[in-house]
Amino acid sequence: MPASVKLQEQYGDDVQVLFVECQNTPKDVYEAFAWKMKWMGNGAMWTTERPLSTTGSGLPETAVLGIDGSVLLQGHPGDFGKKLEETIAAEIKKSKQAPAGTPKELEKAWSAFGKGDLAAAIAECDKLASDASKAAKDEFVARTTAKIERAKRMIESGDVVAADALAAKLEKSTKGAVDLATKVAELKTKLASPELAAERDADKAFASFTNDVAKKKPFEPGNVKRAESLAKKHEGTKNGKRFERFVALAKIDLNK
Amino acid sequence: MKLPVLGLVAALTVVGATWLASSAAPAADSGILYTFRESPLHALGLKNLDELRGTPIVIDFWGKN
Repeated sequence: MPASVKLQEQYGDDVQVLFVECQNTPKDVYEAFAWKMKWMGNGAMWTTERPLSTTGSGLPETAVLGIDGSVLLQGHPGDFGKKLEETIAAEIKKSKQAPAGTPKELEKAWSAFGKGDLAAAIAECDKLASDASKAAKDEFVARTTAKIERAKRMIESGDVVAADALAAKLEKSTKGAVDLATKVAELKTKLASPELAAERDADKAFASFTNDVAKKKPFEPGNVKRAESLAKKHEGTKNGKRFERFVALAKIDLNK
Repeated sequence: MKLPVLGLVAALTVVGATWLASSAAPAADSGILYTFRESPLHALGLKNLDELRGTPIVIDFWGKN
């Protein structure tokens, strides 16, 4: 199992693992392969697009981006030793604190934002009324707005349960920050609409199915049969399509 | 004959530069910026790497073969 799968399982939402397939393997084939290897069901993302260039010294290669998006480590994962986990742990710790170089008077605002209290963070910035506090306020608003937009896209992609969870966090966070609270209320109204009920059920069913099969033998005939039946039950939903896709992936001959 | 060849070279340069700009673009002072052309699998609505600002990212380059 790649170390990155373990990292995603170990750190959960505190880290995002992105697998980038670099040998031009068709999407269906690498996805089926990842299921078969029991690498699915842990929150990691999969793509063939390279957000940064590889060093060219061969695969596998791992890069760690810090909380500011800068490249902290890059190379063969076997060469990192303890450095990989130490770097990630240090970044997670930093992610819960104010950014390096934050003026002392803004630490309280960042602390409130880190705890999910946007309104208190904004109030703290307004009290200070400096250029730095205005920049911090803009950053808080931008990050929160980006989360609202992401929640909307989650709904579009059928990830209703994740959207529910994010909307609940945002509702708590934006209480008292009028403009953003209004946007979150619109989001919550959309999530409560009857047309999303079937998708929500299908999403829960797919998550439950994934949890059950991901670490066993995903493509065993019994699991495929179950997926076929769930695809029929949730027909017409995006998650119904995910069940259909699972069935199709199970039929791919990976030895070809 | 040289003119068409020069034109082709210029066109390829523009295409190459555009491709590079849309694939991997290190930001001047704020880390890696990247917009996915196609949403990754299990992306949960993620479009830009920048949306993960504040969370460490582990990129695992691998090959099936």
